Amino acid sequence: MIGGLFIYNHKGEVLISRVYRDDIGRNAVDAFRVNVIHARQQVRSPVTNIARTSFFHVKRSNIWLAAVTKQNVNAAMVFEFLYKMCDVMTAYFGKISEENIKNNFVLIYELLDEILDFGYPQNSETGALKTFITQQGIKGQLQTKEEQSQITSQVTGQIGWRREGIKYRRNELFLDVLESVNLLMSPQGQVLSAHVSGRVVMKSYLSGMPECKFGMNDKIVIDKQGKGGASDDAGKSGKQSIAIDDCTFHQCVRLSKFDSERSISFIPPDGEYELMRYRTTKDIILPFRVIPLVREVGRTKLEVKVVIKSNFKPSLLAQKIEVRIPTPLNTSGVQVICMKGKAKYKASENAIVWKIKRMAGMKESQISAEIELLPTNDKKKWARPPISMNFEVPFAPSGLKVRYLKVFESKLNYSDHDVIKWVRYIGRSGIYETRC
Amino acid sequence: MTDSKYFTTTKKGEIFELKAELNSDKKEKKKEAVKKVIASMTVGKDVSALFPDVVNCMQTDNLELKKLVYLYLMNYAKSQPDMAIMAVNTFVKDCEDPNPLIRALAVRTMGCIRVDKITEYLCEPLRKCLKDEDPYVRKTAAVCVAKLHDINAQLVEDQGFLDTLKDLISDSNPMVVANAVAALSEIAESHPNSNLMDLNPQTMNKLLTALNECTEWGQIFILDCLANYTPRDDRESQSICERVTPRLSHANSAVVLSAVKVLMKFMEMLPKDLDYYGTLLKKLAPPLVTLLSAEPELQYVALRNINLIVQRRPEILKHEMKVFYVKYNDPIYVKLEKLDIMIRLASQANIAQVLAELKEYATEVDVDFVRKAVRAIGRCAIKVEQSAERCVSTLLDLIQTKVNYVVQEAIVVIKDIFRKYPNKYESVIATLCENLDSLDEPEARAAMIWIVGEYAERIDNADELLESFLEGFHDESTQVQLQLLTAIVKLFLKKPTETQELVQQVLSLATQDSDNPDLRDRGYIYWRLLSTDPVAAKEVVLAEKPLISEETDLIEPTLLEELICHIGTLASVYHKPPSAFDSDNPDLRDRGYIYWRLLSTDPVAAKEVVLAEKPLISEETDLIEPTLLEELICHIGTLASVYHKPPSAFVEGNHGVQHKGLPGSAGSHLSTPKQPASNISTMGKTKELSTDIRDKIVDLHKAGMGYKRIGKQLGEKISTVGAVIRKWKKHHTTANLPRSGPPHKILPRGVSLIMRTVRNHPKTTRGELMNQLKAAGTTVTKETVAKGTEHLHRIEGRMDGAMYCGILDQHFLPSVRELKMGQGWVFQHNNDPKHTAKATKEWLKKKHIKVLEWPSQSPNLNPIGNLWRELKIRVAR
Repeated sequence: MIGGLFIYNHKGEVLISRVYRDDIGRNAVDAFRVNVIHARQQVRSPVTNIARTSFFHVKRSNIWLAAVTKQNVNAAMVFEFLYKMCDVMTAYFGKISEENIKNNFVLIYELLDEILDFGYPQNSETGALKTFITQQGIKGQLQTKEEQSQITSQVTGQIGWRREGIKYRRNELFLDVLESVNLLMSPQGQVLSAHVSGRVVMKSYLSGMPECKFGMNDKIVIDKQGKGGASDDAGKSGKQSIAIDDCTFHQCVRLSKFDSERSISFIPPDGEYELMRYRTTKDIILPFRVIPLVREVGRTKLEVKVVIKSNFKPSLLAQKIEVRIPTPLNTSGVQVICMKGKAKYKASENAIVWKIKRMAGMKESQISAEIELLPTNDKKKWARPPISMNFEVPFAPSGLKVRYLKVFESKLNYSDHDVIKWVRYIGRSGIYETRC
Repeated sequence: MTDSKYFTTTKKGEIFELKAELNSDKKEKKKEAVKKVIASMTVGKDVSALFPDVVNCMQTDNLELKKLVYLYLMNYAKSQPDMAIMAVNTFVKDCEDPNPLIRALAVRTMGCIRVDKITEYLCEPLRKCLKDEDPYVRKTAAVCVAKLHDINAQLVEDQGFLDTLKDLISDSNPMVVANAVAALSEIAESHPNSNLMDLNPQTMNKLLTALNECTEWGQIFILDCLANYTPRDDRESQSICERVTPRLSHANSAVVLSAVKVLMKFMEMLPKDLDYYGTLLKKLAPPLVTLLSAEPELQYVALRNINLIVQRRPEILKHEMKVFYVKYNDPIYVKLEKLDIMIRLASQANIAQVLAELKEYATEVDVDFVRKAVRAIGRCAIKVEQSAERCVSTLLDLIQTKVNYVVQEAIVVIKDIFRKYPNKYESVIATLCENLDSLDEPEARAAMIWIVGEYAERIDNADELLESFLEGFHDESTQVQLQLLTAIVKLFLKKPTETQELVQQVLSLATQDSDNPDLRDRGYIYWRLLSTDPVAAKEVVLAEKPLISEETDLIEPTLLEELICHIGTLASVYHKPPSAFDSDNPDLRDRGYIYWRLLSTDPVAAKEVVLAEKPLISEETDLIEPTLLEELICHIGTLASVYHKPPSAFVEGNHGVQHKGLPGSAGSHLSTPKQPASNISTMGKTKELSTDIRDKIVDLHKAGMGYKRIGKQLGEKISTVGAVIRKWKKHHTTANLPRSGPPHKILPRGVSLIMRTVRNHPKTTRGELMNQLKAAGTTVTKETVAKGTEHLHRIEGRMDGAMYCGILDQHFLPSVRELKMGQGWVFQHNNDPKHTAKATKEWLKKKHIKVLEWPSQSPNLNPIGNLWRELKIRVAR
């Protein structure tokens, strides 16, 4: 299991060092600094083996987190743990920066003591941790006996993510369907690969221990219902349903029930959390198409024309559109003309950045640029990185629709109708690239 | 005030101050002091001297302070075992505390204190805690058994903790079950033969129930443990699989991977015609693909594992090629792994797309990646016969780009294609030969030589080509030398008349002038073969189909064969035969001796053995050995599956035994590694200190040690230590600083060339000098050349006309003489009063010096004047 955990700043100075196992010595701290942080090259592998000691490292802004072990550990678990550790730290004191870590080092040690025991990850739910790891140590004494046992049962219990006795005057819940569309398109407009990875994020402000049931237009479920129901209904819903390739759920969802009945039922944590993640590849609405045209005029000039077409209902508006057209390294000057928005050549990023604030559906816009090149005798060709795009659209490109979210709470007397529910769809660009 | 202040470097005498603060009466001050101590500990300072004072703070009702003291204890108890006993009482008392959090904290910390005496006291509280009413305490105690076992295995067995731990598997709380499983698995690992984890259907049932309820981490522990179970029949394994499959939808990738491991293992038991088997295969693909949308580090782990899974069961992901397409922004390690899997999945159905992708990758920036992409194209050709033609033409296209490393890589793979499809694509040889000169890597040169030797009869100037290689024979690497030897012998057998001389030359080079045993051995083998029975040698070539001259395969370490033999070693990592990085290669030498003996004792048998028909190379070049693969499948998700090595290859054997030190240990100079890169020494200079020694000096300095002590400990001079620390204080780095200015544009030789020319022909212009330098190989601008100064003179006191004359007399005239300016020069100075003084004017007249007229008040005529102004302003500032 994990033998130790170190946190370094970008210079390689140790900010936090916690050793769990005897086989990890203080020298491991130095070994990692010398071999990885000071190596000054691109990281060639996230797992580094130095003198039979393995270092798992992730970098957050300019902070390095490294888990160290000498055993044959579960590698995926170690990385998941490191991400989780980052999440927990962010939940406690915001951004992970050198300053914040130094300011909270006592807290971090306390957290590390709690969520990692002898290298075995224990409960890492922020909600549960916050009940008993607070920055005021005195609180420990003020707790009554019931409170203490409640904490421990929550930490170890089946429903580690929710405590009892939560009360809200207004029972409310917010559902955000956040999708990111990933696309790789060939210069000829052929889709090489496209997928949507979506998340359903829920903010719940519900009293008691509510039992929730979540439904969406999953093809398998709809088809099943369609068989039993009227035939014309099946035809109609068949169009609207989507095929989900795969989905993963938050800890709270009963996986066995999903596996057998494909129904999503759970007791939600309080506050904001990610209910599920899913991935679809079929029938994706690609919100934008990028049509590039690159022409080399002689050896010192390049003409680029890029057309973007929006492909959704004209009543909807896409926002924060940004097209990034890479330019060769030996670019000396760029002239840009664009129909809409603003375009700028950023020499430091080697790209023309074209920004459009808003754009309605079924529209088209164009940019043309003349790129002057310095003559070079460099034989190596320019790699022509793909044109990438960022945007935000107010619908789900996968076509996912939330059909219902039912809330049942038997003990307290509020019913499904009393809960105020909000749903929002946001589609964002993931890696949305067109080769040119 | 924030806590970051504790990290600031402090002055000497700090320890004493801390001591005073720790013993202060004020609670707040105490806590501050402990925080300071912990901060120093983190940074690496030795604060063990404060042990008794810190332990004194342990008796507190402040939980935060208590935790800090515990942290200190865990770190230093081992170095002060006697003092650590002082803490025992508090621990035992805390284990009885009404607050379960404090009970758990005490038992957790106690287990981390690795002092034998303390473990004795630990037993009783631990026994109580294992049966505690609170699950939180029980789950902590379960892990504590594993800790205790690590310190003193015998004690744990004697005290019967193992049985209590086994009972915990039936606990009502899922988290306790998970921790008990984790602890038992770890203990079982160190007793491979013990029957600790006797998994029977009942316990399996309990574990599978707990699986649904416990935390994500607990699920991982349980799944990892389940993978060790061997079901009795296919019915049981199916029911386990059914109960594990829901885990594939978990958000935690580690849970998913562990579930995949269990399923992969139990699938073996299922009959393949079972419906369920097919369903299961279908269910495995989506979660594996989903893993690829995780963070890059996890993607890497997933990809390494998918690599194994695809080899074992290619049918799972055969339709998922697209997800392995490389994205431009993927980190390099993800890219390389994806490429590997793409090749594994390549089939006739998708080869067109794959080739198009690979061609795209071959134009990227990262050299390693591009090389691998080129190699992949070759592997596709070998794997999918129908695509071979297209692959070869793609490779030829790539060769046309003339990018050096692409060409070399392409040639290496084309060699393999020739080996797979002899006599099919020789038409490309001409193109390959065009690029002969650009090959500078041994592997590519060897491959090219192999091709030339192999198809010698089709290449008109094969002897010339090989001869050109022979010129620098001794500078070549062994690989190339061996290949060259073989190729020339082949050539000789094909065209004996014109190449007699060449073969003589290479044989003598190999046997007489070389001190490489492998080369010498091979040389002698050929020599003997050719000299004793040239007819037989020729017959061999004539009798066999003239395509593959078997001799090459005799000793030539075909890359493929080598790789398969060396799977898991560095060789398979580098994709190079060991000889490329290991000069003393026993395999090769042994083989040489075997051949030698064989040939000298029984040539007939030798012919039979050696010239036997070789099998064509297999489709997959770097498959993992089946037994290893089997083992790795059982380790899916673990570190072993990432390294593709069995755990024994990188895990230290004995637990609880003192382990070998790592490089860079602070304090002991024995384990100081010498960094080869930073050890490059130049003549006349002493070795440069490696960065980690410098780091260590700084660390020790930070820890409050003096220069003298540091120097003694590390065996460096005090002055060196001082220099390193001064540099660190000033620049906050120990790395080499960037050089202080640009390097000289003109080499010393160039400078002397300029000086010589100017001395002999003072009127040479800068342009001429520039051209001259260009001819000598240095291209510089005119301005760079035009540097030559006269003497500099320091002026003391106020200068007047007389003094100026003196200067001119003493320095100016000798300068003129020295620069050999002859007569045709003009002197220029400004209208400073002393320059225009009567005495000066007279002196100039007397010496017949031509002075350039200088209009008054016009610095603009003298551009340098503007610079002086700037300089004066800066100096005055």
